[in-house]
Amino acid sequence: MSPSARILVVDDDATIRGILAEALAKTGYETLEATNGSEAEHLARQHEPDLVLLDVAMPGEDGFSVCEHLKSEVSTSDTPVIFITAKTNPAHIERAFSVGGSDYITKPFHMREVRARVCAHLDLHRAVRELEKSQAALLRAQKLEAVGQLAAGVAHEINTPTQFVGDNTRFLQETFSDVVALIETLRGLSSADSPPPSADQLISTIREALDQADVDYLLAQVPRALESSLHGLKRISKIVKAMKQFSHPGSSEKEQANINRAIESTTTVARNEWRYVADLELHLDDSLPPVPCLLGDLNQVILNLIVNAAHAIADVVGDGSQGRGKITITTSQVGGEAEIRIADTGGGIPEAIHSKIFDPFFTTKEVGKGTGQGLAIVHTVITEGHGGSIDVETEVGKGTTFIIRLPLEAAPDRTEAA
Amino acid sequence: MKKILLVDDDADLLDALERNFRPHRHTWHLTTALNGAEALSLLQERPFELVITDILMPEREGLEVIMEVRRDHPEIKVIAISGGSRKMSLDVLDVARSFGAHKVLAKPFTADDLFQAIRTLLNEDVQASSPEQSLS
Ligand SMILES: Nc1ncnc2c1ncn2[C@@H]1O[C@H](COP(=O)(O)OP(=O)(O)OP(=O)(O)O)[C@@H](O)[C@H]1O
Ligand SMILES: [Mg+2]
Repeated sequence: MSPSARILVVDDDATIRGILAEALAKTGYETLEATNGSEAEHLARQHEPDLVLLDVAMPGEDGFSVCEHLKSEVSTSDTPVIFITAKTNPAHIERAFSVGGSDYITKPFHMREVRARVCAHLDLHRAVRELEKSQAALLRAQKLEAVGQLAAGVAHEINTPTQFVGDNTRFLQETFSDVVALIETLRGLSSADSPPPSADQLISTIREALDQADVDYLLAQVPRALESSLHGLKRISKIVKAMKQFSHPGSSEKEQANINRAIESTTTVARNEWRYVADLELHLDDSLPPVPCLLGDLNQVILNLIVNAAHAIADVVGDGSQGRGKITITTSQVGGEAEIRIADTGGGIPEAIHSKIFDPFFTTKEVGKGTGQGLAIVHTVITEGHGGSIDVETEVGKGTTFIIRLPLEAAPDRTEAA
Repeated sequence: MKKILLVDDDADLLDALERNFRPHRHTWHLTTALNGAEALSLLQERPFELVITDILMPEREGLEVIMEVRRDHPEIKVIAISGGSRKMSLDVLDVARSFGAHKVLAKPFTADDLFQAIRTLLNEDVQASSPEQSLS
Protein backbone atom coordinates (compact mmCIF):
# COMPACT_ATOMS: atom_id res chain seq x y z
CA MET A 1 0.00 0.00 0.00
CA SER A 2 1.27 3.46 -0.86
CA PRO A 3 -0.98 5.97 0.85
CA SER A 4 1.05 9.03 -0.06
CA ALA A 5 0.73 8.50 -3.81
CA ARG A 6 -1.12 10.95 -6.05
CA ILE A 7 -3.31 9.48 -8.78
CA LEU A 8 -4.81 11.24 -11.77
CA VAL A 9 -8.11 9.75 -12.93
CA VAL A 10 -9.10 10.62 -16.51
CA ASP A 11 -12.52 9.69 -17.88
CA ASP A 12 -15.21 11.64 -19.75
CA ASP A 13 -17.88 9.63 -17.97
CA ALA A 14 -18.56 11.38 -14.67
CA THR A 15 -19.96 8.25 -13.02
CA ILE A 16 -16.96 6.05 -13.74
CA ARG A 17 -14.58 8.86 -12.81
CA GLY A 18 -16.42 9.37 -9.55
CA ILE A 19 -16.39 5.68 -8.63
CA LEU A 20 -12.70 5.35 -9.33
CA ALA A 21 -11.70 8.53 -7.55
CA GLU A 22 -13.80 7.85 -4.51
CA ALA A 23 -12.60 4.29 -4.11
CA LEU A 24 -8.98 5.30 -4.47
CA ALA A 25 -9.37 8.20 -2.07
CA LYS A 26 -10.88 5.83 0.47
CA THR A 27 -7.85 3.62 0.12
CA GLY A 28 -5.74 6.60 1.11
CA TYR A 29 -4.55 7.95 -2.23
CA GLU A 30 -4.70 11.58 -3.16
CA THR A 31 -6.75 11.89 -6.35
CA LEU A 32 -7.06 14.36 -9.20
CA GLU A 33 -9.75 14.20 -11.85
CA ALA A 34 -9.78 15.22 -15.50
CA THR A 35 -12.67 14.95 -17.95
CA ASN A 36 -10.71 15.13 -21.19
CA GLY A 37 -7.26 14.80 -22.74
CA SER A 38 -6.06 18.36 -22.62
CA GLU A 39 -7.22 18.81 -19.04
CA ALA A 40 -5.40 15.58 -18.14
CA GLU A 41 -2.15 16.77 -19.69
CA HIS A 42 -2.46 20.11 -17.98
CA LEU A 43 -3.06 18.56 -14.53
CA ALA A 44 -0.28 16.02 -15.05
CA ARG A 45 2.20 18.75 -15.87
CA GLN A 46 1.09 20.83 -12.93
CA HIS A 47 0.84 18.18 -10.22
CA GLU A 48 3.16 15.40 -11.45
CA PRO A 49 1.00 12.47 -10.30
CA ASP A 50 2.60 9.14 -9.39
CA LEU A 51 0.21 7.23 -11.63
CA VAL A 52 -2.46 7.95 -14.26
CA LEU A 53 -5.67 5.96 -14.81
CA LEU A 54 -6.62 6.80 -18.36
CA ASP A 55 -9.77 6.18 -20.37
CA VAL A 56 -9.13 5.51 -24.07
CA ALA A 57 -12.26 6.65 -25.86
CA MET A 58 -12.95 10.28 -25.04
CA PRO A 59 -14.32 13.13 -27.13
CA GLY A 60 -11.44 15.13 -28.59
CA GLU A 61 -8.01 13.72 -27.89
CA ASP A 62 -8.12 9.99 -27.16
CA GLY A 63 -6.27 8.25 -24.33
CA PHE A 64 -3.51 6.83 -26.55
CA SER A 65 -2.57 10.28 -27.74
CA VAL A 66 -2.66 11.66 -24.17
CA CYS A 67 -0.33 8.88 -23.13
CA GLU A 68 2.08 9.65 -25.97
CA HIS A 69 2.17 13.28 -24.92
CA LEU A 70 2.82 12.41 -21.28
CA LYS A 71 5.62 10.06 -22.28
CA SER A 72 7.33 12.70 -24.38
CA GLU A 73 7.52 15.20 -21.54
CA VAL A 74 10.41 15.02 -19.13
CA SER A 75 8.33 15.60 -16.01
CA THR A 76 5.82 12.85 -16.81
CA SER A 77 7.74 10.45 -19.04
CA ASP A 78 8.32 7.99 -16.20
CA THR A 79 4.82 8.13 -14.74
CA PRO A 80 3.04 4.78 -15.10
CA VAL A 81 -0.16 4.95 -17.12
CA ILE A 82 -2.92 2.32 -16.73
CA PHE A 83 -5.59 2.34 -19.44
CA ILE A 84 -9.20 1.67 -18.57
CA THR A 85 -11.33 0.89 -21.57
CA ALA A 86 -14.25 -1.11 -22.84
CA LYS A 87 -12.39 -2.22 -25.96
CA THR A 88 -10.85 -5.65 -25.64
CA ASN A 89 -9.46 -6.57 -29.04
CA PRO A 90 -5.78 -7.55 -29.09
CA ALA A 91 -4.67 -4.85 -31.55
CA HIS A 92 -6.11 -2.28 -29.22
CA ILE A 93 -4.33 -3.74 -26.21
CA GLU A 94 -1.11 -3.89 -28.16
CA ARG A 95 -1.47 -0.23 -29.03
CA ALA A 96 -1.92 0.61 -25.36
CA PHE A 97 1.49 -0.83 -24.57
CA SER A 98 3.21 0.56 -27.64
CA VAL A 99 2.33 4.14 -26.73
CA GLY A 100 3.97 3.60 -23.35
CA GLY A 101 1.13 2.30 -21.20
CA SER A 102 2.10 0.14 -18.24
CA ASP A 103 -1.12 -1.85 -17.95
CA TYR A 104 -4.64 -2.30 -19.26
CA ILE A 105 -7.90 -2.82 -17.42
CA THR A 106 -11.15 -3.58 -19.23
CA LYS A 107 -14.55 -2.25 -18.36
CA PRO A 108 -16.59 -3.32 -16.56
CA PHE A 109 -13.93 -3.50 -13.89
CA HIS A 110 -13.83 -4.67 -10.31
CA MET A 111 -12.58 -2.05 -7.92
CA ARG A 112 -10.47 -4.70 -6.16
CA GLU A 113 -8.64 -5.39 -9.38
CA VAL A 114 -8.06 -1.69 -10.04
CA ARG A 115 -6.69 -1.20 -6.54
CA ALA A 116 -4.41 -4.23 -6.83
CA ARG A 117 -3.01 -3.12 -10.18
CA VAL A 118 -2.53 0.47 -9.05
CA CYS A 119 -0.72 -0.69 -5.97
CA ALA A 120 1.49 -3.10 -7.94
CA HIS A 121 2.50 -0.46 -10.47
CA LEU A 122 3.25 2.11 -7.82
CA ASP A 123 5.49 -0.41 -6.06
CA LEU A 124 7.17 -1.38 -9.31
CA HIS A 125 7.77 2.22 -10.23
CA ARG A 126 9.23 2.96 -6.83
CA ALA A 127 11.52 -0.07 -7.06
CA VAL A 128 12.80 1.02 -10.47
CA ARG A 129 13.49 4.47 -9.11
CA GLU A 130 15.43 3.04 -6.17
CA LEU A 131 17.43 0.94 -8.56
CA GLU A 132 18.22 3.95 -10.72
CA LYS A 133 19.27 5.87 -7.67
CA SER A 134 21.59 3.16 -6.43
CA GLN A 135 23.03 2.77 -9.89
CA ALA A 136 23.79 6.48 -9.99
CA ALA A 137 25.35 6.21 -6.54
CA LEU A 138 27.50 3.31 -7.70
CA LEU A 139 28.66 5.34 -10.67
CA ARG A 140 29.58 8.25 -8.43
CA ALA A 141 31.37 6.00 -5.96
CA GLN A 142 33.44 4.37 -8.67
CA LYS A 143 34.26 7.76 -10.12
CA LEU A 144 35.46 9.03 -6.76
CA GLU A 145 37.55 5.93 -6.30
CA ALA A 146 39.01 6.34 -9.77
CA VAL A 147 39.80 10.00 -9.18
CA GLY A 148 41.44 9.07 -5.87
CA GLN A 149 43.58 6.45 -7.50
CA LEU A 150 44.41 8.72 -10.40
CA ALA A 151 45.45 11.43 -7.97
CA ALA A 152 48.35 9.24 -6.87
CA GLY A 153 49.39 8.75 -10.47
CA VAL A 154 48.94 12.41 -11.29
CA ALA A 155 51.08 13.42 -8.31
CA HIS A 156 53.76 11.16 -9.67
CA GLU A 157 53.45 12.68 -13.12
CA ILE A 158 53.76 16.17 -11.69
CA ASN A 159 56.57 15.45 -9.23
CA THR A 160 59.06 14.43 -11.89
CA PRO A 161 58.89 17.60 -13.99
CA THR A 162 58.74 19.66 -10.80
CA GLN A 163 61.98 17.99 -9.79
CA PHE A 164 63.85 18.79 -12.95
CA VAL A 165 62.47 22.28 -13.40
CA GLY A 166 63.78 22.94 -9.88
CA ASP A 167 67.16 21.39 -10.68
CA ASN A 168 67.47 23.39 -13.88
CA THR A 169 66.55 26.60 -12.11
CA ARG A 170 69.15 25.97 -9.45
CA PHE A 171 71.71 25.30 -12.17
CA LEU A 172 70.80 28.56 -13.90
CA GLN A 173 71.09 30.41 -10.63
CA GLU A 174 74.59 29.10 -10.01
CA THR A 175 75.47 29.72 -13.60
CA PHE A 176 74.41 33.29 -13.33
CA SER A 177 76.69 33.90 -10.36
CA ASP A 178 79.56 32.43 -12.37
CA VAL A 179 78.71 34.76 -15.22
CA VAL A 180 78.56 37.69 -12.84
CA ALA A 181 82.06 36.79 -11.58
CA LEU A 182 83.26 36.69 -15.17
CA ILE A 183 81.77 40.08 -15.88
CA GLU A 184 83.40 41.51 -12.75
CA THR A 185 86.77 40.25 -13.94
CA LEU A 186 86.30 41.80 -17.36
CA ARG A 187 85.15 45.03 -15.77
CA GLY A 188 88.25 45.07 -13.56
CA LEU A 189 90.41 44.66 -16.63
CA SER A 190 88.80 47.54 -18.40
CA SER A 191 88.81 49.92 -15.45
CA ALA A 192 91.16 52.86 -15.62
CA ASP A 193 92.38 52.50 -12.03
CA SER A 194 94.70 49.57 -12.56
CA PRO A 195 97.81 49.89 -14.71
CA PRO A 196 97.16 48.63 -18.22
CA PRO A 197 98.21 44.97 -18.41
CA SER A 198 100.32 43.57 -21.17
CA ALA A 199 98.54 41.79 -24.00
CA ASP A 200 99.79 38.44 -22.72
CA GLN A 201 98.60 39.17 -19.23
CA LEU A 202 95.27 40.29 -20.58
CA ILE A 203 94.78 37.17 -22.60
CA SER A 204 95.76 34.84 -19.80
CA THR A 205 93.53 36.61 -17.28
CA ILE A 206 90.59 36.41 -19.63
CA ARG A 207 91.25 32.77 -20.38
CA GLU A 208 91.46 31.97 -16.73
CA ALA A 209 88.21 33.79 -16.05
CA LEU A 210 86.46 32.01 -18.91
CA ASP A 211 87.75 28.72 -17.59
CA GLN A 212 86.69 29.55 -14.10
CA ALA A 213 83.19 30.27 -15.32
CA ASP A 214 83.14 26.97 -17.24
CA VAL A 215 81.98 28.98 -20.22
CA ASP A 216 81.94 26.30 -22.90
CA TYR A 217 79.82 24.10 -20.68
CA LEU A 218 77.48 26.98 -19.91
CA LEU A 219 77.08 27.91 -23.55
CA ALA A 220 76.08 24.37 -24.33
CA GLN A 221 73.94 23.69 -21.29
CA VAL A 222 72.08 26.91 -20.47
CA PRO A 223 69.89 26.80 -23.57
CA ARG A 224 69.17 23.13 -22.91
CA ALA A 225 68.28 23.80 -19.30
CA LEU A 226 65.90 26.57 -20.34
CA GLU A 227 64.30 24.44 -22.98
CA SER A 228 63.93 21.50 -20.64
CA SER A 229 62.31 23.69 -17.99
CA LEU A 230 59.79 25.08 -20.44
CA HIS A 231 59.07 21.55 -21.56
CA GLY A 232 58.62 20.48 -17.93
CA LEU A 233 56.23 23.33 -17.23
CA LYS A 234 54.25 22.37 -20.31
CA ARG A 235 54.03 18.80 -19.04
CA ILE A 236 52.74 20.01 -15.69
CA SER A 237 50.13 22.29 -17.18
CA LYS A 238 49.01 19.61 -19.61
CA ILE A 239 48.30 17.15 -16.85
CA VAL A 240 46.64 19.74 -14.65
CA LYS A 241 44.38 20.74 -17.54
CA ALA A 242 43.60 17.13 -18.33
CA MET A 243 42.76 16.44 -14.69
CA LYS A 244 40.42 19.38 -14.69
CA GLN A 245 38.74 18.14 -17.82
CA PHE A 246 38.57 14.59 -16.56
CA SER A 247 37.03 15.50 -13.23
CA HIS A 248 34.51 17.69 -15.05
CA PRO A 249 31.55 17.66 -12.67
CA GLY A 250 29.50 15.89 -15.31
CA SER A 251 26.21 17.64 -15.81
CA SER A 252 23.13 15.47 -15.91
CA GLU A 253 22.26 16.93 -19.30
CA LYS A 254 23.98 15.77 -22.44
CA GLU A 255 26.26 18.28 -24.10
CA GLN A 256 27.83 18.34 -27.54
CA ALA A 257 31.32 17.15 -26.76
CA ASN A 258 34.56 16.63 -28.58
CA ILE A 259 35.22 12.95 -27.93
CA ASN A 260 38.80 13.13 -29.20
CA ARG A 261 39.65 15.67 -26.57
CA ALA A 262 37.99 13.59 -23.88
CA ILE A 263 40.15 10.65 -24.93
CA GLU A 264 43.29 12.76 -24.93
CA SER A 265 42.68 14.14 -21.47
CA THR A 266 41.70 10.78 -20.00
CA THR A 267 44.77 9.04 -21.41
CA THR A 268 46.94 11.87 -20.07
CA VAL A 269 45.46 11.63 -16.60
CA ALA A 270 45.72 7.86 -16.64
CA ARG A 271 49.24 7.81 -18.08
CA ASN A 272 50.67 6.33 -14.92
CA GLU A 273 48.30 3.37 -15.25
CA TRP A 274 49.64 2.23 -18.61
CA ARG A 275 53.02 3.73 -19.32
CA TYR A 276 55.07 1.10 -17.52
CA VAL A 277 53.65 -1.75 -19.54
CA ALA A 278 52.43 -0.35 -22.82
CA ASP A 279 52.81 2.22 -25.54
CA LEU A 280 49.73 4.18 -26.45
CA GLU A 281 48.72 4.99 -29.99
CA LEU A 282 45.88 7.40 -30.71
CA HIS A 283 44.23 7.51 -34.11
CA LEU A 284 41.66 10.21 -33.59
CA ASP A 285 39.55 11.29 -36.52
CA ASP A 286 39.68 15.09 -36.59
CA SER A 287 36.57 15.30 -38.71
CA LEU A 288 34.45 13.54 -36.10
CA PRO A 289 31.50 15.83 -35.31
CA PRO A 290 30.61 16.70 -31.71
CA VAL A 291 28.79 13.87 -29.96
CA PRO A 292 25.90 14.48 -27.55
CA CYS A 293 27.13 12.92 -24.34
CA LEU A 294 27.49 13.00 -20.60
CA LEU A 295 31.14 13.91 -20.62
CA GLY A 296 31.98 12.96 -17.05
CA ASP A 297 30.48 9.50 -17.52
CA LEU A 298 32.16 9.02 -20.87
CA ASN A 299 35.56 9.92 -19.38
CA GLN A 300 34.97 7.24 -16.80
CA VAL A 301 34.11 4.69 -19.48
CA ILE A 302 37.33 5.42 -21.32
CA LEU A 303 39.30 5.25 -18.09
CA ASN A 304 37.79 1.88 -17.12
CA LEU A 305 38.63 0.44 -20.55
CA ILE A 306 42.20 1.78 -20.49
CA VAL A 307 42.82 0.39 -17.01
CA ASN A 308 41.45 -2.99 -18.11
CA ALA A 309 43.70 -2.93 -21.19
CA ALA A 310 46.73 -2.04 -19.08
CA HIS A 311 45.95 -4.84 -16.63
CA ALA A 312 45.51 -7.36 -19.44
CA ILE A 313 48.84 -6.31 -20.94
CA ALA A 314 50.59 -6.37 -17.56
CA ASP A 315 49.43 -9.96 -17.13
CA VAL A 316 51.25 -10.81 -20.35
CA VAL A 317 54.41 -8.70 -20.18
CA GLY A 318 54.92 -8.81 -16.42
CA ASP A 319 57.00 -5.95 -15.06
CA GLY A 320 58.16 -4.93 -18.53
CA SER A 321 61.17 -7.22 -18.83
CA GLN A 322 59.11 -9.25 -21.30
CA GLY A 323 58.80 -6.31 -23.69
CA ARG A 324 55.90 -3.91 -23.88
CA GLY A 325 52.34 -4.13 -25.09
CA LYS A 326 50.32 -1.65 -27.06
CA ILE A 327 47.01 0.12 -26.51
CA THR A 328 45.46 1.63 -29.60
CA ILE A 329 42.51 4.00 -29.44
CA THR A 330 40.76 4.88 -32.66
CA THR A 331 37.81 7.16 -33.32
CA SER A 332 35.80 7.42 -36.50
CA GLN A 333 32.36 8.13 -37.82
CA VAL A 334 30.40 5.09 -38.93
CA GLY A 335 27.07 6.06 -40.45
CA GLY A 336 25.14 8.10 -37.92
CA GLU A 337 27.33 6.99 -35.07
CA ALA A 338 30.69 7.84 -33.55
CA GLU A 339 32.84 4.78 -33.02
CA ILE A 340 35.54 4.42 -30.38
CA ARG A 341 37.79 1.37 -30.51
CA ILE A 342 40.06 0.54 -27.62
CA ALA A 343 42.39 -2.29 -28.56
CA ASP A 344 45.02 -3.99 -26.43
CA THR A 345 47.65 -6.65 -26.96
CA GLY A 346 46.80 -8.41 -23.70
CA GLY A 347 45.93 -12.05 -23.24
CA GLY A 348 42.36 -11.86 -24.56
CA ILE A 349 39.20 -13.03 -22.84
CA PRO A 350 38.57 -16.80 -22.62
CA GLU A 351 35.37 -17.93 -24.32
CA ALA A 352 34.00 -19.32 -21.07
CA ILE A 353 33.67 -15.89 -19.47
CA HIS A 354 32.58 -13.83 -22.52
CA SER A 355 29.02 -13.67 -21.33
CA LYS A 356 29.98 -12.61 -17.81
CA ILE A 357 32.37 -9.72 -18.23
CA PHE A 358 29.65 -7.06 -18.17
CA ASP A 359 28.02 -8.52 -15.07
CA PRO A 360 28.36 -6.38 -11.96
CA PHE A 361 31.04 -7.73 -9.65
CA PHE A 362 32.36 -10.28 -12.11
CA THR A 363 36.14 -10.15 -11.90
CA THR A 364 39.08 -12.46 -12.48
CA LYS A 365 41.41 -10.11 -10.64
CA GLU A 366 42.78 -10.50 -7.17
CA VAL A 367 41.27 -8.55 -4.30
CA GLY A 368 42.54 -5.00 -4.36
CA LYS A 369 43.16 -4.94 -8.10
CA GLY A 370 39.62 -5.21 -9.35
CA THR A 371 36.08 -5.30 -8.05
CA GLY A 372 34.31 -6.20 -11.26
CA GLN A 373 32.36 -2.97 -11.52
CA GLY A 374 34.30 -1.45 -14.40
CA LEU A 375 32.56 -3.03 -17.38
CA ALA A 376 29.14 -3.08 -15.71
CA ILE A 377 29.38 0.70 -15.42
CA VAL A 378 30.73 1.00 -18.96
CA HIS A 379 27.72 -0.96 -20.21
CA THR A 380 25.16 1.09 -18.27
CA VAL A 381 26.67 4.41 -19.30
CA ILE A 382 26.90 3.50 -22.97
CA THR A 383 23.58 1.73 -23.49
CA GLU A 384 21.27 3.42 -21.00
CA GLY A 385 22.99 6.75 -20.65
CA HIS A 386 23.72 7.29 -24.33
CA GLY A 387 21.53 4.88 -26.30
CA GLY A 388 24.75 3.47 -27.77
CA SER A 389 26.20 0.01 -28.03
CA ILE A 390 29.30 -1.82 -26.89
CA ASP A 391 30.85 -4.90 -28.45
CA VAL A 392 33.94 -6.96 -27.81
CA GLU A 393 36.25 -8.70 -30.22
CA THR A 394 38.80 -10.86 -28.49
CA GLU A 395 41.23 -13.61 -29.22
CA VAL A 396 43.07 -15.52 -26.52
CA GLY A 397 46.79 -14.88 -26.83
CA LYS A 398 46.30 -11.93 -29.18
CA GLY A 399 44.32 -9.24 -27.44
CA THR A 400 40.97 -7.57 -27.05
CA THR A 401 39.13 -4.71 -28.71
CA PHE A 402 36.17 -2.94 -27.14
CA ILE A 403 34.02 -1.14 -29.68
CA ILE A 404 31.73 1.63 -28.55
CA ARG A 405 29.18 3.28 -30.79
CA LEU A 406 27.40 6.46 -29.81
CA PRO A 407 24.55 8.01 -31.80
CA LEU A 408 25.49 11.41 -33.23
CA GLU A 409 21.95 12.65 -32.89
CA ALA A 410 20.71 12.89 -29.32
CA ALA A 411 18.66 9.74 -28.74
CA PRO A 412 14.97 10.40 -29.34
CA ASP A 413 12.67 9.78 -26.44
CA ARG A 414 12.42 6.07 -25.95
CA THR A 415 8.67 5.96 -26.46
CA GLU A 416 8.96 7.66 -29.83
CA ALA A 417 11.63 5.17 -30.76
CA ALA A 418 9.29 2.30 -29.93
CA MET B 1 87.19 9.99 -7.22
CA LYS B 2 83.94 8.29 -6.13
CA LYS B 3 81.85 6.78 -8.89
CA ILE B 4 78.12 7.31 -8.81
CA LEU B 5 75.45 5.76 -11.01
CA LEU B 6 72.20 7.69 -11.47
CA VAL B 7 69.18 5.81 -12.88
CA ASP B 8 65.92 7.42 -13.97
CA ASP B 9 63.61 6.83 -16.91
CA ASP B 10 63.14 10.54 -17.49
CA ALA B 11 65.84 11.99 -19.73
CA ASP B 12 65.04 15.58 -18.72
CA LEU B 13 65.48 14.67 -15.09
CA LEU B 14 68.79 12.91 -15.73
CA ASP B 15 70.12 15.93 -17.64
CA ALA B 16 68.99 18.39 -15.02
CA LEU B 17 70.55 16.48 -12.14
CA GLU B 18 73.70 15.99 -14.18
CA ARG B 19 73.99 19.76 -14.56
CA ASN B 20 73.80 20.09 -10.81
CA PHE B 21 76.59 17.55 -10.43
CA ARG B 22 78.84 19.60 -12.71
CA PRO B 23 80.42 21.70 -9.93
CA HIS B 24 81.31 18.46 -8.14
CA ARG B 25 82.99 16.89 -11.13
CA HIS B 26 86.33 16.74 -9.34
CA THR B 27 84.96 14.75 -6.41
CA TRP B 28 82.27 12.59 -7.96
CA HIS B 29 82.20 10.89 -11.31
CA LEU B 30 78.63 10.59 -12.49
CA THR B 31 77.29 8.00 -14.94
CA THR B 32 73.63 7.94 -15.96
CA ALA B 33 71.29 5.17 -17.12
CA LEU B 34 67.78 5.50 -18.53
CA ASN B 35 66.39 2.24 -17.18
CA GLY B 36 66.99 -0.65 -14.85
CA ALA B 37 68.32 -3.01 -17.50
CA GLU B 38 70.94 -0.49 -18.62
CA ALA B 39 71.89 0.17 -14.99
CA LEU B 40 72.35 -3.50 -14.21
CA SER B 41 74.61 -4.06 -17.18
CA LEU B 42 76.71 -0.99 -16.25
CA LEU B 43 77.01 -2.39 -12.74
CA GLN B 44 78.43 -5.63 -14.13
CA GLU B 45 80.96 -3.77 -16.24
CA ARG B 46 82.53 -1.47 -13.71
CA PRO B 47 82.62 -0.59 -10.06
CA PHE B 48 80.51 2.09 -8.42
CA GLU B 49 80.49 3.36 -4.87
CA LEU B 50 76.92 4.62 -4.95
CA VAL B 51 73.74 4.03 -6.94
CA ILE B 52 70.86 6.52 -7.05
CA THR B 53 67.78 4.95 -8.60
CA ASP B 54 64.22 5.86 -9.44
CA ILE B 55 61.75 3.16 -8.43
CA LEU B 56 59.01 3.02 -11.03
CA MET B 57 60.48 2.55 -14.48
CA PRO B 58 59.56 0.57 -17.56
CA GLU B 59 62.10 -2.16 -18.45
CA ARG B 60 62.86 -3.50 -14.98
CA GLU B 61 61.89 -1.50 -11.99
CA GLY B 62 64.19 0.23 -9.57
CA LEU B 63 63.31 -2.29 -6.89
CA GLU B 64 65.01 -4.93 -8.98
CA VAL B 65 68.08 -2.76 -9.29
CA ILE B 66 68.15 -2.30 -5.54
CA MET B 67 67.70 -6.01 -4.96
CA GLU B 68 70.49 -7.02 -7.32
CA VAL B 69 72.86 -4.37 -6.04
CA ARG B 70 72.28 -5.44 -2.46
CA ARG B 71 72.81 -9.06 -3.41
CA ASP B 72 75.77 -8.83 -5.80
CA HIS B 73 77.52 -5.70 -4.55
CA PRO B 74 76.68 -5.31 -0.88
CA GLU B 75 79.39 -2.64 -0.52
CA ILE B 76 77.57 -0.23 -2.85
CA LYS B 77 75.38 2.36 -1.15
CA VAL B 78 71.88 2.90 -2.53
CA ILE B 79 69.67 5.97 -2.61
CA ALA B 80 66.11 5.47 -3.87
CA ILE B 81 64.24 8.41 -5.40
CA SER B 82 60.59 8.41 -6.37
CA GLY B 83 57.79 10.73 -7.30
CA GLY B 84 55.14 8.64 -5.58
CA SER B 85 53.34 5.47 -6.29
CA ARG B 86 50.90 4.09 -8.75
CA LYS B 87 48.60 3.20 -5.92
CA MET B 88 47.71 5.52 -3.11
CA SER B 89 47.82 2.71 -0.61
CA LEU B 90 51.45 1.96 -1.23
CA ASP B 91 54.44 4.08 -0.31
CA VAL B 92 57.07 2.86 -2.73
CA LEU B 93 59.83 4.55 -0.79
CA ASP B 94 58.97 2.46 2.27
CA VAL B 95 59.17 -0.58 0.07
CA ALA B 96 62.51 0.58 -1.32
CA ARG B 97 63.82 0.96 2.21
CA SER B 98 62.73 -2.54 3.06
CA PHE B 99 64.54 -3.77 -0.06
CA GLY B 100 67.72 -2.35 1.38
CA ALA B 101 67.98 1.25 0.14
CA HIS B 102 70.18 3.20 2.57
CA LYS B 103 68.38 6.44 2.00
CA VAL B 104 65.17 7.46 0.25
CA LEU B 105 64.22 10.82 -1.24
CA ALA B 106 60.77 11.78 -2.43
CA LYS B 107 60.58 13.87 -5.59
CA PRO B 108 60.72 16.78 -5.70
CA PHE B 109 63.83 17.01 -3.53
CA THR B 110 66.51 19.68 -3.73
CA ALA B 111 69.94 18.97 -5.14
CA ASP B 112 71.31 19.94 -1.74
CA ASP B 113 69.27 17.19 -0.07
CA LEU B 114 70.73 14.74 -2.54
CA PHE B 115 74.30 15.96 -2.14
CA GLN B 116 73.99 15.84 1.63
CA ALA B 117 72.76 12.25 1.42
CA ILE B 118 75.62 11.32 -0.88
CA ARG B 119 78.21 12.87 1.41
CA THR B 120 76.78 11.10 4.41
CA LEU B 121 76.71 7.72 2.72
CA LEU B 122 80.20 8.10 1.27
CA ASN B 123 81.51 9.32 4.62
CA GLU B 124 82.54 12.63 3.16
CA ASP B 125 80.89 14.62 5.88
CA VAL B 126 83.58 16.99 7.00
CA GLN B 127 81.94 17.85 10.29
CA ALA B 128 80.09 14.57 10.43
CA SER B 129 77.24 16.49 11.98
CA SER B 130 74.46 15.17 9.87
CA PRO B 131 71.23 15.66 11.77
CA GLU B 132 69.77 12.70 9.92
CA GLN B 133 70.68 9.32 11.25
CA SER B 134 68.01 7.42 9.41
CA LEU B 135 70.47 5.27 7.52
CA SER B 136 69.52 1.67 6.86
N1 LIG C 1 40.89 -5.76 -22.05
C1 LIG C 1 40.68 -6.92 -21.40
N2 LIG C 1 41.42 -8.03 -21.68
C2 LIG C 1 41.20 -9.19 -21.03
N3 LIG C 1 40.25 -9.37 -20.09
C3 LIG C 1 39.48 -8.32 -19.77
C4 LIG C 1 39.64 -7.05 -20.40
N4 LIG C 1 38.71 -6.20 -19.89
C5 LIG C 1 38.02 -6.91 -18.98
N5 LIG C 1 38.46 -8.18 -18.89
C6 LIG C 1 37.93 -9.25 -18.01
O1 LIG C 1 36.65 -8.86 -17.57
C7 LIG C 1 36.60 -8.82 -16.14
C8 LIG C 1 35.66 -7.75 -15.69
O2 LIG C 1 36.17 -6.46 -16.00
P1 LIG C 1 35.70 -5.21 -15.15
O3 LIG C 1 36.37 -4.01 -15.68
O4 LIG C 1 34.22 -5.20 -15.10
O5 LIG C 1 36.19 -5.53 -13.70
P2 LIG C 1 37.66 -5.54 -13.13
O6 LIG C 1 38.59 -4.87 -14.08
O7 LIG C 1 37.98 -6.93 -12.75
O8 LIG C 1 37.52 -4.64 -11.81
P3 LIG C 1 37.27 -3.05 -11.73
O9 LIG C 1 37.14 -2.54 -13.13
O10 LIG C 1 36.02 -2.87 -10.95
O11 LIG C 1 38.46 -2.52 -11.03
C9 LIG C 1 38.04 -8.64 -15.72
O12 LIG C 1 38.27 -9.11 -14.42
C10 LIG C 1 38.78 -9.43 -16.77
O13 LIG C 1 38.77 -10.81 -16.49
MG1 LIG D 1 38.16 -2.92 -14.86
